[in-house]
Amino acid sequence: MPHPTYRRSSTSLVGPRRPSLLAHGSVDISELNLLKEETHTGDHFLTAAQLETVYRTNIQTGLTDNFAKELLVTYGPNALKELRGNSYWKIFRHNLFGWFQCVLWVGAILNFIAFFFASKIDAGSDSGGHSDKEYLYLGCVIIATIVGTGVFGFYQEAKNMAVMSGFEKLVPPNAVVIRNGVKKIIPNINVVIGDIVEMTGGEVVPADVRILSCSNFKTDMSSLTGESELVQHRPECTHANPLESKNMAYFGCPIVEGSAKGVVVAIGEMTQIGKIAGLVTGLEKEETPIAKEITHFIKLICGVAFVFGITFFLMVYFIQKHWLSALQYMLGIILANVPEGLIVTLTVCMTLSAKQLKKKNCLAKTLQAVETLGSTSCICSDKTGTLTENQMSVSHLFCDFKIYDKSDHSHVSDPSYSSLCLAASLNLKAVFVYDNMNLPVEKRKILGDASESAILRYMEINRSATQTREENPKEAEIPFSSAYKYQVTIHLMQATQSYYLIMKGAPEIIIEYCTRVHSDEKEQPLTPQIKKELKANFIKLANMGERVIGYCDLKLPLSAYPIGYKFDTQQKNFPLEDLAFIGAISMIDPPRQDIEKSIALCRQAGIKVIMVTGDHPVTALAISRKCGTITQPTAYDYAFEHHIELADVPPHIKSQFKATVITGDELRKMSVNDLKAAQTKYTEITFARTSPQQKLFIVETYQSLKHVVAVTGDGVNDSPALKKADIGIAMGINGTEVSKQAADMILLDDNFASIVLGIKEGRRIFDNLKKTIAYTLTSNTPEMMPFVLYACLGMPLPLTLMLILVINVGTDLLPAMSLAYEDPEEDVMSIPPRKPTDHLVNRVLIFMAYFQVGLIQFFAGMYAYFIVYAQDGFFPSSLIFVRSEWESKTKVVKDTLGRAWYYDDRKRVEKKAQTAYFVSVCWTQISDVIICKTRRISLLKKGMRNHVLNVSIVIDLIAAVVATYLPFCHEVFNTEPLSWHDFFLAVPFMVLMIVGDEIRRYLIRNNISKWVEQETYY
Amino acid sequence: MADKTKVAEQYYAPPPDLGKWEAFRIFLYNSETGQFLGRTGSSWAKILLFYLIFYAALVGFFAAMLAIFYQTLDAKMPKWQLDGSIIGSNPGLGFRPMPDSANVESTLIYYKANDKGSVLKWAKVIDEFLEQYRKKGSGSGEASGAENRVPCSPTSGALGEKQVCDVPIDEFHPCTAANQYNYEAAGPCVFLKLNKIFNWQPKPYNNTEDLPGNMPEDLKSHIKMVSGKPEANTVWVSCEGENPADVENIGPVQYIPRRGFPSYYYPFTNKEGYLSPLVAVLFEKPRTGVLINIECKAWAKNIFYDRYERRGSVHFELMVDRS
Repeated sequence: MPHPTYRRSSTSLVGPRRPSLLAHGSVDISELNLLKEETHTGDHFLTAAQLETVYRTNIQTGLTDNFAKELLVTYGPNALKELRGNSYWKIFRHNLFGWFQCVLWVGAILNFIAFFFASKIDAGSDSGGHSDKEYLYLGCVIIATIVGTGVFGFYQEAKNMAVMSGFEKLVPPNAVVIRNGVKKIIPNINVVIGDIVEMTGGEVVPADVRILSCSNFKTDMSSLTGESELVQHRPECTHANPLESKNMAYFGCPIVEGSAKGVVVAIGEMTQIGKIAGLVTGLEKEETPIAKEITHFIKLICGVAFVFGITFFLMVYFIQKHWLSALQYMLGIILANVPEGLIVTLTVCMTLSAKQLKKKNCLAKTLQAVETLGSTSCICSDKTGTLTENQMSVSHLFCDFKIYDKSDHSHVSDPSYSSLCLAASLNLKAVFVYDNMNLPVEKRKILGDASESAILRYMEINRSATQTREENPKEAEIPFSSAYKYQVTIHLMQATQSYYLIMKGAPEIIIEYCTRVHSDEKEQPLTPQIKKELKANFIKLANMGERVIGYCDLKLPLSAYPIGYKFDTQQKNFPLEDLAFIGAISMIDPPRQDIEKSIALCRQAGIKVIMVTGDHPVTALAISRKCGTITQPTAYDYAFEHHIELADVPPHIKSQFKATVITGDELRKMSVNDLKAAQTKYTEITFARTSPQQKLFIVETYQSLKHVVAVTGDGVNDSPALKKADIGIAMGINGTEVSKQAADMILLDDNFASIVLGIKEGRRIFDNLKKTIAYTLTSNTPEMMPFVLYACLGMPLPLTLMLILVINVGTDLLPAMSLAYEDPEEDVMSIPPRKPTDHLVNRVLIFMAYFQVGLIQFFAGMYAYFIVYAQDGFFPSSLIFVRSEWESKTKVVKDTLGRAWYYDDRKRVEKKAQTAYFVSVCWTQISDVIICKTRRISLLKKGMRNHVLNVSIVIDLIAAVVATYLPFCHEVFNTEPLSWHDFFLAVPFMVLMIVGDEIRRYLIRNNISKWVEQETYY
Repeated sequence: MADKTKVAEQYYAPPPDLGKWEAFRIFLYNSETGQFLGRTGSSWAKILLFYLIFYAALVGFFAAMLAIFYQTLDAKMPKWQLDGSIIGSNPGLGFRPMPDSANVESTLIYYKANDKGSVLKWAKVIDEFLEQYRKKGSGSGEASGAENRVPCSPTSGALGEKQVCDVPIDEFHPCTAANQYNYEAAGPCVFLKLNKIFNWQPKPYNNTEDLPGNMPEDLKSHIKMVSGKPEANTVWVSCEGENPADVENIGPVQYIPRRGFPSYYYPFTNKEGYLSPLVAVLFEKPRTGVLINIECKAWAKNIFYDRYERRGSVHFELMVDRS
């Protein structure tokens, strides 16, 4: 080990989220030492009484509300300063000087250079159809474009950031504090110094806390010290260094197990983590994969633009020896290739999606999470709370070898029944929220897990549990842990004035601690016979999908445990054996409404839904069946039908089943390859009785089978799996803070149906981004080809730079954005999830956009161009190789009829043809947006229900009309009015495009040609 | 050894981490799969065939659409005529010989009268221009439609459907090819022609009424002379020096064969063999060694003069050297 104190485990699952103190290097050490120096206030040395004085608080009753309010005003909220700093400026800079923008800046500067030199050299010479004023004008328009789209993009991105940062505000962590002597749940930011806080497993330490009392309290301090081993806390001071002393717990550290009570000694910036946070502001956030993909794509496009541009520059320069016109070609190619509006469009699409998801109760921490959710191929879902209501309610009570219904109150006076009720009322961690005490019991909020809440609620309604609990106070407690699977409390009984130990837990576990059984007559010894009978009853209950909790007790003899005896739950100085079994309570957690529909939808979408639960296999199976994750018979069903043990099911029958339940015990015996084999063999699997480690193991194995795994979970024990999963989904209502921290996404309503919506949304976003890019790239071809014709065939220029800009940042912008509003394709949930190798922009998309659809647009444009010329007497043959005469101001050009055209006249014809070309591109871009609406299903089925898109089409047309007919636009954009029928010249090409694409989709949809799908499905 | 390799084969080996250059090389040619630029030979053939068919179909569609549209167009007649067209109904004047195209912006006719080469250069330009006027009768290399040309006079009757009026350039003495257009005699001929406008019919000044005030006096008197006669139906032409010095230097001017374009040449309807009427302007004795700015104008009631847009007029410079 390189360093004795800061031992780091290489097998750490969580991993140090922040670099450890040591990792900051020697430069920071002095600073850190200084910080450490300041914290040597010695809180950890003080006794409870001293702490009360120092922090003017009371350990029993806490601060008064008024004083707490005062402190909050004085010291401010308990929150870290946001590390954003000047990131608004960063976004702004990014939007104005990104890759695209730099290309455009270069374009603008080239224009100004051209203007400067053109006016210097000579005004009247051949400048390739652009007078010097036009250079200046174009340069200004380009700059306006950059600034316009930049500011708009900045606005959108800032808005986006607000949506994302809203995440913290929406799901604020809460803390339990004692104020005015009552427990209260307050938002973490309202915790003040001196508050008495209660912490339990699953939460996060709300501030720097000096622990006063605790039981089995463990926190993960890896974020602070880099040490991944859990720290077991104790109320005593164990080290002079507060960071090492076991009685200090620090802000932001996840609590893994146990519970504790403590006094807050530092908040917000003054906490240890707050101080370190100040040192790591320089850390940049990493780009998400989708952002990376977009950046990569932009660089590629810019690169292509420049390569083409420079090639043309050199080519034209060597042919014409005129660097000004060569520069013009270069500009044209670059402007045509750079989709100026794309960045803005993408940002808008993202923002829209984030908003949509939020509406659907899915809160993604990053937009990329949504996208990943869309490609999910396997969901490992927790049962409780996700698939079920998480409203446990007691359904049966079991005692005296009989099962009673919850509404059967005729046995209340039976000794075993009443002792079961007593035990159930006492052995509870759950409490009612103080503020709700005046509400009816059904509506009161309860602090505690689902099954405890169910018991508390049931007992409160039927047996006035609160009173019982007040009368028989809890003296000691071993909270429930998944490691030993029981919970023990010791009470001072009012009736007998002696201590009473109650153990609660999974019945087959606690029965192993028992040697006797309570019955109505007397205590009986627990013979194997009785044990078997009891177990049969448990299974009977469990087969109904119910969770069974067993109770056993032990009256601690007064002689050995006199009043005032100090119970130590760490040392366990009391017996945990030779207990007497009382009975059991079974609860049911009904599946959520319509859950089976959601799961059927997932199956349809090619997504495996795997239930992973800590429950009994039989319970798990019952719920799986109800939810629809298991639809086929399993070995269990065979065993029940034939009244044999599961182990006795013959192997040849076992191997026929397509569904199975794998328990934690079985899993323990399996190797990675065994599990892989099982996961491939069985189409439906439910994992039962699994531990957190096993959940992780399951997730990892699925990932090694090339699945994109989503994991849902709510507990601390789920967090490793949540982290490991491709996308971790935490529950917003019931989830612990730790699980929320580990997750990538939070379901605000804890509903599995939201995951399905999220998947749909994720697939939709990906599809829509693809559509948007395909749409935007298409118009590059008709924008670039005119320059090729101009340079290679010497034709009068079919499209000016100005009109290219009008298309790119004018008419193209709205339809591209409107594609983000496109509904998911109807069958988006009936196709298998996308492969992780399927990129946003792939070769097929590029080829489709540039060489197929783009070329149709080019032909449509050329058609309009030729026709306008032909109407004025210039047939196509008279337009080839005329460039030098055409651009000369003194030369006369003859048309096909032999008429002589002067410069101004033929320039007007040229403008008219350019306008016609522009209008054609507008028209065919409309048909392009229509074919981009759907990638797979028929347009007839899809319909034109996206009204944003419809409106954008109308606006697009209006823009084309305005650009063509408004005198002001003739001035600015150099257009000429067209006769009305020339305005519709591109319509046949629109029809061709739409019909052609409909045929292509038909071929793909009906699997007629795999080749077509492979080459044209983007 | 054999066992060992067997075992090793069972495990999946991740693809080796290739360098950029290596990856590019494999992209260029992958010897394992026979892929060239990411595709196998058959794949390339398929995709190329696809694009071939696709583009062929597209070009076919394009051609078909153009063909359909051209059905609505008359190849001899523009769709937009006169005021509906961009070229308008106001013809411009053109002059020949034009300076060569190397110097596109120049309108200067400069030569040395005693330099044979210089004279021949300009004569050749005019020869080329008059080529289409010269070819008549039968024989190889004829301009099509030459047989339609018939001699016309102001008094001759209406033309046949196919007939067009001839321009008898051989009668333009001394501005004939044989005489090298009089360039050697330091009195160069410059040919003027009115630009063709489809279906345009001139409204000539055929009497002394409504003559514009800026019309040169000599032209006015000429019109007075022919007023009332059929010869008066002519688009008149006048050439003058632009500045007082030019007026002085220009010397006497002769218009051959007559002082304008007779209206029997109009309207132009793109009949086969149609020739634009010409006027040869003979500058008899321009002052040598100086540059003379000359502006020629065409006069008719429906020709409007605009020097900047060059409507109804033409500007050129003449400089004759004798050294």
